Amino acid sequence: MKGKRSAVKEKLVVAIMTIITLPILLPYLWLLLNSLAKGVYWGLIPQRFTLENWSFL
Amino acid sequence: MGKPTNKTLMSPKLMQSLRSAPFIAPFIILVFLFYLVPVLLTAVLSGTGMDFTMRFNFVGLKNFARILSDSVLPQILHNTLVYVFFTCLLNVGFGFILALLTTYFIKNENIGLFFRTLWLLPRMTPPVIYALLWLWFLDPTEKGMLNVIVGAFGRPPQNWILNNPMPTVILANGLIGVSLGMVIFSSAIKSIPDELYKAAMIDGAGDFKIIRHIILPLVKWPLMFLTVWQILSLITSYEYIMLITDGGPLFNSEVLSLYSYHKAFSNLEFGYGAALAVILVLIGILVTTFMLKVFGFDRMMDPSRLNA
Repeated sequence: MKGKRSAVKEKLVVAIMTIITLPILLPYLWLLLNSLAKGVYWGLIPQRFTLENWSFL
Repeated sequence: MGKPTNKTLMSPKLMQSLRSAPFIAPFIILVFLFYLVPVLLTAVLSGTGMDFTMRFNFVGLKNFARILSDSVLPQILHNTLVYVFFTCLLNVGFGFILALLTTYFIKNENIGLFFRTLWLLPRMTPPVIYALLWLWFLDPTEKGMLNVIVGAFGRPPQNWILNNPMPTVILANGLIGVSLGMVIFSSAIKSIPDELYKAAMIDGAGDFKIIRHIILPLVKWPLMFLTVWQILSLITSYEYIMLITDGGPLFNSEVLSLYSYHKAFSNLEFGYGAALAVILVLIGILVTTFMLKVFGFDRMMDPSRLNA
């Protein structure tokens, strides 16, 4: 019973951590998606996949 | 009458100092060249009216008299105080919460490590890229990331940076500093022996009591070290403010270090900028001395008492 409660608590903390990490994660995700897309829809969702931006490699 | 030996000529303490000199000399030379000499040069420069002509025309204490009558200085000092206090609070307080969540509450080491790594991203990112991310995130157009999110709730787009310049720079700077606090507190929490938690649990202590009576007292020294470290580095830091708001709008997010930079390198008033920098150095020395006395750094540098 105690072990189950502890597992639920840990899952809750993971959920809280995910929410508070989003402001850090989202801009980096946006940066990565933008580098692989020709444009972004609603500021976040990539529109057309491209590797053009990586051609410098 | 034999020849005097080394033993009679030099005291053991002097011998030890001489022996350690080659090891410590490179660091003394580095500190002298890159810390002390710039401070001395700034002090000399502050006594001149040097401008774009780059001439050393000594004006005595004229620059310092000008500081006293500078009409924007009260606002800049207020901004500096607000910026240092709230950013330090975020760095230390939120760093402690993150360490607690990822180390104490999340028992799965891999998950804790995953979140800690994510929070280290701003620290690993070049400042210009990090500042650009904030500018894109808070873009005032309807395509701005935050405006897209608030738009989903039917709110109109806002100019976040223009309307909230100080909270923006505090948040941007705070989220970088938070990683240092998180790493230091995580290691401090991990060094607490498991037996202490087990004994507390057997005695019926819940999480809150364990944090209050076991974790907090045992991370007291890292907490104090971090507070002092962050205050001192925040007093002199300005690069993220410069990149995100450049001290604006008007002087709403201008801090003393940025003001000194602007005066020297934007207005080309090197003498006045140097005088402001001297004031900054004096504030730094005063704060350090005060902190050393209040927090008792000698005791802080003692070996750990955890396993004593």
